Amino acid sequence: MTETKGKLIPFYLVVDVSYSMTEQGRLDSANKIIIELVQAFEANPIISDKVRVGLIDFSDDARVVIPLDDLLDLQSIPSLSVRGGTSYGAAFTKLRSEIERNVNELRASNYEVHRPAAYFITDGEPTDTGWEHAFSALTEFDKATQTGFRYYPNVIPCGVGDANPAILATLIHPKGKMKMFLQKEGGDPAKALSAMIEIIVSSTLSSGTNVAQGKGDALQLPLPEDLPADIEMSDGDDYL
Amino acid sequence: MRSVRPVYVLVPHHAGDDAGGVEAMCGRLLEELEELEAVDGGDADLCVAVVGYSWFTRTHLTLRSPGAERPPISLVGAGPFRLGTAATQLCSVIDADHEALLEKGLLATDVTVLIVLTDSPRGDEWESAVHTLASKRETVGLRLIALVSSSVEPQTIEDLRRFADDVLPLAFDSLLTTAGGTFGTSRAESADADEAEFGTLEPETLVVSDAPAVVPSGSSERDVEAAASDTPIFGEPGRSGGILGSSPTEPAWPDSAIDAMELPNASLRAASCRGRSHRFAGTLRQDAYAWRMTGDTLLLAIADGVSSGARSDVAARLAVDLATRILADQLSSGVAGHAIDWDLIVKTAAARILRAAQNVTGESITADNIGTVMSTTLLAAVVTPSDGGSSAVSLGYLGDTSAWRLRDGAWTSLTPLKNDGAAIASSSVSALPTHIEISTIDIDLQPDDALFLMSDGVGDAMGAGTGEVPSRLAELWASPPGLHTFGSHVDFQRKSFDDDRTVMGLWLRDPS
Repeated sequence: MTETKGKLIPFYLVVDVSYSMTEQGRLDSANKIIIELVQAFEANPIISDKVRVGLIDFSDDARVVIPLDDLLDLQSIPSLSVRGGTSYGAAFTKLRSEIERNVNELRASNYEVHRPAAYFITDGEPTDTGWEHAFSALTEFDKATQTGFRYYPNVIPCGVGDANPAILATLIHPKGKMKMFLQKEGGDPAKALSAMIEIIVSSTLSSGTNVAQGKGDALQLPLPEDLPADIEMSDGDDYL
Repeated sequence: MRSVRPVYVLVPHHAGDDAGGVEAMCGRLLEELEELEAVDGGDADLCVAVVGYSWFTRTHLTLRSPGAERPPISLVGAGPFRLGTAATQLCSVIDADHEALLEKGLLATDVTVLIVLTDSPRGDEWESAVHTLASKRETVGLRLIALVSSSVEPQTIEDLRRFADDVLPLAFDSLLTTAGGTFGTSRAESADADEAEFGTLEPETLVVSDAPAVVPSGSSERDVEAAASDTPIFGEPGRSGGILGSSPTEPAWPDSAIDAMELPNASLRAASCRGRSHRFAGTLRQDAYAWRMTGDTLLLAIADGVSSGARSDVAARLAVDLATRILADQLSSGVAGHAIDWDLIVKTAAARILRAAQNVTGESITADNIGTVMSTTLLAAVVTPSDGGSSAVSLGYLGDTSAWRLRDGAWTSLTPLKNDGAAIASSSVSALPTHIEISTIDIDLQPDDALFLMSDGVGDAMGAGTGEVPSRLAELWASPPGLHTFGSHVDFQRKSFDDDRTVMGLWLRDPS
């Protein structure tokens, strides 16, 4: 690299838009994510200079709703709408290709890119089979042999409604470092989603700050005592 | 003159967890105050400020009327609860607010201080600080009320009774009712008969302090006025380019430091500035530098405190002080630059930093878990003049602070490049006292060479030595700039480069 234009941390939101998301106001909550992030970024010039956000939605196929970019440059805030089943495979495949394209572009423009983070938000079980392969392709990387996906993201699953904690537990990556968020049993999915959005926003801000200050662990998740009500955080061990 | 009644709430971080958190608690408090004001009016307007404390103190809400717009309050930070520091800080806040109010033609009467305790305060001689706070009642009407939870020891409660007007049990649901309706019962005496001329005072939002509240990054909206900054701009300044910060919590450790010295064969310039992210968050600069001379030999040291440690400024200061001291000792006892015992320096610094961390936390800290309290990189140089204006330089380095040579407008990195060729950048760093393996290098510099030691706040922008920032700096530093100008250069604006910055530059010349 001849010079460093700057340091960046990419954040991806991967959101389930299967039919069930129209129930109980879940989609309304989900649609608030970008607005809340934009508002938080507006108040924080340090973060908005360093964090790039992208939004992918998935149902039977996956689509890029907001390509990874400076959120404050958004001309309009898109809303999500539902369309079908729940293909985890489509989501992971799209996420992998987006990350690869984005990070390559940023590096080519001389940015120092920190490990991407992906929040995987779903309200149900996968309706496709074989999605485990897509997940491996997204997350496996062997440092010693340099095989796999070197830009693998940190993955934080967020489950509401009928999402299966045991399945989501397998999506935490890396195990032992990241966590997942689950709606508390008997809770309200829309409320749980809103609470998760709070976490996503605050961890985006604090991670961005960490990168700004050169801290060791770029992605910072909340301490258990700072969790909003309605959701619980888990490292997955209870479900595996 | 119009009167106002300030209410200061001193609340521990993590208070009110069982009642929906501090934000909910403070929200209720503000609602209660608003109701109170609506009900009994009074001759003076209520205004309120919220100050949080744990082992550090921070103002989360500057003085404003209860109904005024405000950012949500989100307190982060664990114990120990240094009430002494908080009380001392609160005294300064009260004094500063008093001045600010006077400037607006308002007089603060009947100051109420609500101190919330959810645990017994630890160390730091809080009794004397609270005593100082309480003695303000000699100059201004002050009511000091302590609200204590059941986990506060009886001894603490007894001690509090010596200073407080009242010590009451804490009930998060209704802080004011708990405070026994002390609000609204006493009226501020209008000191000024001219008050009648003002007629009915319209309730208006009374935001008193213009200084932005020092808030934890991440959860509040506030107006950041990007003040015009006259530092050079390299490329895009970004949205944070012109930020000037709120003051650090330790006045003795300022935002920036500069130094300059002329020697027979060299010019030295040094500057250390707080980065924009620390300015924005109102936290301390965590870089430090030091220099010393022994005979003809010049000793330079810079240290970059790792920001995951809240007091890494202490570690950085200790590291540079000890490094230059021990180097001076060795040199004056005849050890040559290339034979320096660097291990002695790192081991001494590591031990000293560990002790300092133990002093700060009062708990047992080991080199492994010290990162959240303090840790630092270190780079030191021994510069010994040799014949004809050349110099022999011995460098010792631990962590990502870097050394560079500038010769004929071209940069050469003397230390390994950080994240060189890495696909994904890592922000992990080697730091004292966890790491004590120091690397060394000896080089010779010619007259008209310049040596630069840099913390990664600037080092990262240098890349491999080519590109926009290195070219601009090579022009600006072709010869030693003035004392203040050098400082301004180091504080250049460049989007996303927000870390604290320190540079020591040494320009060599032939003395003949």
